[in-house]
Amino acid sequence: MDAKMVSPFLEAFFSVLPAVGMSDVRRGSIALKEKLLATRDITALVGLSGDIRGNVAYCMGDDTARGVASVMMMGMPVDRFDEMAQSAISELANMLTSGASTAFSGQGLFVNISPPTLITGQNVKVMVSQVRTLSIEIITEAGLIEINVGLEV
Amino acid sequence: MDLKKDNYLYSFSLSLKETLDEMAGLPCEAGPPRIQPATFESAGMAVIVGITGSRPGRIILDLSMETARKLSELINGEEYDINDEFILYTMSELANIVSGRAITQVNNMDRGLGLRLTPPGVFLGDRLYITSPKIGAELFSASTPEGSIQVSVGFEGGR
Repeated sequence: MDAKMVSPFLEAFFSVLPAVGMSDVRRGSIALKEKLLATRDITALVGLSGDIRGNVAYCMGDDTARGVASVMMMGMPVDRFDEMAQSAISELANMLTSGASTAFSGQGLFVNISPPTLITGQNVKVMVSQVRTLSIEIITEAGLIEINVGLEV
Repeated sequence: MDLKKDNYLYSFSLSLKETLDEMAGLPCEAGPPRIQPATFESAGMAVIVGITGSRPGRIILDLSMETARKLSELINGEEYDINDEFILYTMSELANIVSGRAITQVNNMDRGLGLRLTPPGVFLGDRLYITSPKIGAELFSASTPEGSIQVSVGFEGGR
């Protein structure tokens, strides 16, 4: 996986997060990780098909998910990760991956995405693909969001 | 032709039955379809395959780690510890084959659908909950001598 595969996801974060009201968005570390990863409290999984096939898992802590959902809902307090918060995070995952898909089309690569699935639990591990996973940290005012990308290229 | 619930879910139950028979020599009985709530608790391992095309959605194969271990041993003819990563690869491949066969049948029944699959993502953990917002899903339970597998198929906007 090279920078051309990563940059569409970064572009999407830097355009979508401000559009939903997050004002402080910075890139943290990027690392190549093994296939099976420990995730955080909440993961939103979106699949990709077409010229690029794979999965992207957006992982965040419960407090970050509630903080992001609160910003998306115009500052409404979110005390627990309820149906409305789930819907907000699912929609965010959809917007981010759609944004990446649009950026890929600029490279002449046509990608379709599946609807997001949310996963919560304890001691959760995920294998997003059978190739090594690229993990990118995005630092926001609500906390850290990790994008774990596994693409078959 | 719209996807009819007994048609598309039947394709999945047939596909699972054929695949388990071919890969593991295992018999499988599928129960009746039922509506799935938006959130369900996993038995321990959930393999998620995305559907793209005219009716975006997802397929989930859900089973316990112990059932996954036993199925993997039968499929590969090897013994595995419960933490062996080969279990994940094997279940991922099982979900891929089952979904692929079923979606091919569904596409053949309605040429305009053009449904495609994404690669599987595998989750395992404790108190694992799976939520599919805005997805209308149905599921069936398939029982085998090594344990049961829940197969859930859902599409955006409903069944």
